[in-house]
Amino acid sequence: MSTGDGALRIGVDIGGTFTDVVCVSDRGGVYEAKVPSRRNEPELALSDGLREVASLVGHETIESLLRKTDMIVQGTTIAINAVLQRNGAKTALLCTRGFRDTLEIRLGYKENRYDFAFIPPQALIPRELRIPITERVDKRGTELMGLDEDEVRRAVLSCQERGVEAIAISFLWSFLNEDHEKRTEEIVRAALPDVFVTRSTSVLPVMREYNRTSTTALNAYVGPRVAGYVERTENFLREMGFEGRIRYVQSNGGLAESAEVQRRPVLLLVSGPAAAPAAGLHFSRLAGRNFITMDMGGTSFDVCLVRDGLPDIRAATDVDGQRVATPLIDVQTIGAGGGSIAVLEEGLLRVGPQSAEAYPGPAAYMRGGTRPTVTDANVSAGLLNSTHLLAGTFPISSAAAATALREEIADAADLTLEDAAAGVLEVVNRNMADAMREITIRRGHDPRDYSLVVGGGAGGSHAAQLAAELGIETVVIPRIASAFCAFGAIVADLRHDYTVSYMSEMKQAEIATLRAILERYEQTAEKTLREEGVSPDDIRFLRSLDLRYKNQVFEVTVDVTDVDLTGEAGSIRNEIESRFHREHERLYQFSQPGYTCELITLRVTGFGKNAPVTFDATVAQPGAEPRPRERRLVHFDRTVRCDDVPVYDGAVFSEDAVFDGPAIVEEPHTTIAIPIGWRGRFSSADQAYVLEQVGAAP
Amino acid sequence: MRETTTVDPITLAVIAGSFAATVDEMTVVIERTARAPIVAIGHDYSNAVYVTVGEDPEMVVQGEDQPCHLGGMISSVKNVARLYAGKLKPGDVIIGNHPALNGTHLPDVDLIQPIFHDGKPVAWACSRAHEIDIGGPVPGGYNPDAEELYAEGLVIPPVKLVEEGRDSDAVWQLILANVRSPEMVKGDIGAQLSAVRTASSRLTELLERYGGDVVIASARELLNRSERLMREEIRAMPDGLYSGECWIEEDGRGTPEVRFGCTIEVNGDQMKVKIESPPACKSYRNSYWGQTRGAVYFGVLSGIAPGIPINEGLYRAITLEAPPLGSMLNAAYPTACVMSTSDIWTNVFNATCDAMSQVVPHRACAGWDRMAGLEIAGIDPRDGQHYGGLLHIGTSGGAGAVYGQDGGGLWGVISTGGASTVGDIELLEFRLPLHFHRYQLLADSACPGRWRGAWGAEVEIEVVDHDAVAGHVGDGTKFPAPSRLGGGSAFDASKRVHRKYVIRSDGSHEPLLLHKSLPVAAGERVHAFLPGGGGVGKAHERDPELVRVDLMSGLLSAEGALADYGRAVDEDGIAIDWELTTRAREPGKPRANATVASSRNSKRGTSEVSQEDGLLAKLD
Repeated sequence: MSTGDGALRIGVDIGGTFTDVVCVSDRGGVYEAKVPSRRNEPELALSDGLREVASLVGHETIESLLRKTDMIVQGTTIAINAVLQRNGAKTALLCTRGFRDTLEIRLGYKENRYDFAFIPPQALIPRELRIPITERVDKRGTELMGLDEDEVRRAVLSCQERGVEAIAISFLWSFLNEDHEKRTEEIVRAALPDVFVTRSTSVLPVMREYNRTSTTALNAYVGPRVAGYVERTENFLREMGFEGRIRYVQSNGGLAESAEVQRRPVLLLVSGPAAAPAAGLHFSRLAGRNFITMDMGGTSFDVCLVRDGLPDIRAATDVDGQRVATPLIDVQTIGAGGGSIAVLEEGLLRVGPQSAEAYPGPAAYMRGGTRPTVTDANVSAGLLNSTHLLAGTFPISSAAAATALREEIADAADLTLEDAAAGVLEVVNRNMADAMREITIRRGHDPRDYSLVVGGGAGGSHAAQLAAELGIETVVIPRIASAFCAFGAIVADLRHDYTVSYMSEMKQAEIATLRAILERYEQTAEKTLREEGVSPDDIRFLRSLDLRYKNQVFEVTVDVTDVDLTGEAGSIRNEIESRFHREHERLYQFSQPGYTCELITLRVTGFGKNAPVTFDATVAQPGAEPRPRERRLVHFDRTVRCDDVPVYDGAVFSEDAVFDGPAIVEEPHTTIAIPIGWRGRFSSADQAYVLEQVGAAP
Repeated sequence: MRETTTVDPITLAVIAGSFAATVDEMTVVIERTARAPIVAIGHDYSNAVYVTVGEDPEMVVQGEDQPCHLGGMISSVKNVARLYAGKLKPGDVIIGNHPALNGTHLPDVDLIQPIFHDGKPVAWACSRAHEIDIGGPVPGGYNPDAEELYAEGLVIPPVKLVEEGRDSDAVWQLILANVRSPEMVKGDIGAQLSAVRTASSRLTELLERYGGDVVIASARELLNRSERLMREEIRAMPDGLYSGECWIEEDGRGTPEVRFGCTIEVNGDQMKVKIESPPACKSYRNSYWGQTRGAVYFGVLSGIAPGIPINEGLYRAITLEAPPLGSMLNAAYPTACVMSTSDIWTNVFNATCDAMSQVVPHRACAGWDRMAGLEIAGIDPRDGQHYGGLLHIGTSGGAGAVYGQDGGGLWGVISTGGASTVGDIELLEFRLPLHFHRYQLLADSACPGRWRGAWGAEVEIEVVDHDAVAGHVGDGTKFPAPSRLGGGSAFDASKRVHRKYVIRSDGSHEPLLLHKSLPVAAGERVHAFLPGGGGVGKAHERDPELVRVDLMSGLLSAEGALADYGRAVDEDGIAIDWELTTRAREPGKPRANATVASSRNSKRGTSEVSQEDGLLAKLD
């Protein structure tokens, strides 16, 4: 390809081991680079990746690449690493006097029962930096005790003396009356202009002080690190002459620009994997609007669910023991990947979560790894090439894979090598299927109503088996699978979520007030989106409400986007209630119509549509018939062994190329296994393979 | 019964995973649908899956739920299977809370569903939850005046709540007519019903896919595997006879403080555990054997390497010797027993743990906070509805240390294993006509040790716009959580036991004694001091850096540092003054730790040594 490729968009996914960079041109060219991540200097990985992509696209320098580029989107681990490595900002918390230990008490919960030596996660802010302030507001939002401003000033001094870099402010019931928090913020900002200050009412103005305080503390804790990173990378890109838009993948799966990211840096906490649903949506012509995305790399396996074009969102989750309650994509992650190590433990085969990672890696990589991994099992089962990976550029040893499996599994369990290999795959597939059940069955969704979109270099050889396990009939494996989230970053929409408390029995809810609050947040969303360069025609909103039965502890989110809130209040309330009962029934197999419902939280989401990407279909050679490069023995599982399975080189087919299982297609970055009973088809327009179940598995 | 069907490691892994996923799914259903706060916030429920591998159903997986349900759920399903042998149909669900049959106390209600394959009940799912009310004279069922079971609520012998998929209106009506808050009870039993049905469909799929033989053989192997791992653990323990004990204070109804004893005999790969019990008492403080057994098992597990899959196979290596039927810890029907899941359970655990910490000192596990429950009840002025029951936030103190590390957190009573959450202040204030003035960790509340207990807390609750009644039930106002291996302290012992007061409108503090209740008028407050956990190892051996960190946090006072740890502190009270410390520790000088009593004997542990003794070491 040449520099005459048209305008470019670049997506970057900075992961733990590798940084993926994908570049697409408006003429449909797709370029993919993978460079090592630099643990403590992620911005270096960005420039390494850009340099690599520049040369793929045919530019001599990053500068000339960037001159042709409209947009750069990053998924970044900067926030999560600050938490995992506990090297975020030195943070203080100003909290209501008498309630200093919310972050340490953690609601009094212990994560497990039988581990007597369990060590709970430590609070991000030590007790001596949790500073109580005299003030109190009650559950109606009425001030019971005024704010002691002198105490705030003394707290500020003490923070200054101790070199505090960030301050979180979170008072009880502040979401009903934010005066005290606002005033405290003013005092702190005036005295400490260089300190990162954040208050709970601007991060998450909803009920439950543990969720709110913890999220606010996290916001402060990662704030300075995120701000520094944003500043450094944006300076770097601007100095290189980049004039396009710089965006970030947020935990909610949508994009945002620096102003929003610096206001609420906690939104970047699970930045990377959150782009998967957007990547999946790009393939909705093949996968439909209801699908599951899986991303299987070397160490971990992430799954998300997309329903009617929207990713499932979690209202709260724990990240390394720290509660986050801003909306996040419901990503289920388990330790399962190509590098996952198989161990025989007292008559039971366990696979993962320990991983051989990239170094020493699977035994087959010949980098000194001797433990059998999932990749070794794939090689021994014949699912992966026995001599080379990455389009012949990366030599591997099937003998080393076999030795590892034999020594640690097959001999001890009295199994053949092939059964041991197929068994490792069966167990890891079961673990992954469980993660998929977690986001489907456990959330009230039937997996058979969904298709599966596959990301990650290791996913292609497992996907059909996983789909079969869950009754999924359609699997889509894009050629870009190995850089799935970097690609997702390019095609994701902008997205801003607002969550606000409104507590009332549903029967008493004032619909006009509700509408006014929703509209106010829609205006805020619109303003932010316009500033981020979205035209009004490309903006749309979602409205939803969290309701529960009176006295229930958890809420159910009900979509009310299409409910006209200008009509007669009584019938609107009835409509909302009946939607709640239906959703409750769907989720939990029971509902109690007639029982009092409570409205707790209002939610507004603003979307800014991103321009679609169209692939260049001419990459494939028109009319070329698939011709197998070789035939080999493949053990699809312990009972299905096929001789002479045809193996094809990827991407040299016409639109209509069809592969009847059993077959293997070796793409440069991923290998696709098509078992018996499945049929594969290559779609050049989508640059993806579609696998469909055509008959019952034998 | 020996079978020869063997299962390969792969199938075993897959089926083990399916059992675990099934229990997980049951838990999620309950978690998300339960209505009453004790279930929804308190997490007072458990789920388990069983397979009939021989004559009886055996528990193959128990969820990460309430330890106090551990033992009872084992006998419950076995007894139901025996009672209903030949009389069960697919789609049946049995309900029951009969203490002698289900191994419960009355508020804990079991729902049990047999899962059929080839016409036989092969697998079983059981969901146990603590209902908000079970009838009887006292809301919630904790009736201190109960002299027999009938005064604690409705006894439900195992009966079919669902017959072949159809709900029995008769049983539903009978139950709901006998309980307060019937809507809530209906919601919670409904949640349990969803849970066992979910398990039923998962296990049916599993049986259809792999066949009954393979599933049963896998279950058998999983049980055998846990048994093997357990026997290896026991084999590594030194053979011998070890004895432990724990004392429980007066029951307020005429029974004096009494001793629970535990003798463990380790012999090869076998362990014999004998429990000594006082006679039964005429109050709510007795325990049926199903409950007691669970506390013993959990005590034994405290000395076992974590990670062994928890199933019934573990206990095959343990022979239990029960005290005589009709004693406090092996109650006979119809003895009252509502405290059997809390204070009794905790102290049976403590006695077992005391013995285990001698068997395996490197896993010594100090006692968690004892159970001294706070209840506040009244009529909510906002809707005229009754509210009440145990408030975890006024009950949960700190966890005990284990060898090698400090107590982990404010996890409450060990019988809940940390599963009960206290709830957000905002959530509690929103739901209840109460206002919280403080809820935070309490200085000097943990028992010291080389590894100290977790800190306790204090909570101050105002009753708003109505008159309420506050009650105090359980144990723990007299003895602190037991420490091990020389941990514990005599200094300021009052902070290491439960204290509750009513703050009257004139500002006076009226003690709310154990087993008593007091009226609390609108605007008055309940102030509860919740102690921390027991310590492990001698306090003066604690790493001084950890003493300094505790001083920095403000949770260890300068006086505490000196009295408990023999560390003198500088003027600012946050750093250790080494010169002073050295002088304090010189031979001939009174040693700061001289009065640290051995607290192996939990009764004479610490609190009865006077406070003055603890301060003797103070420097001149």
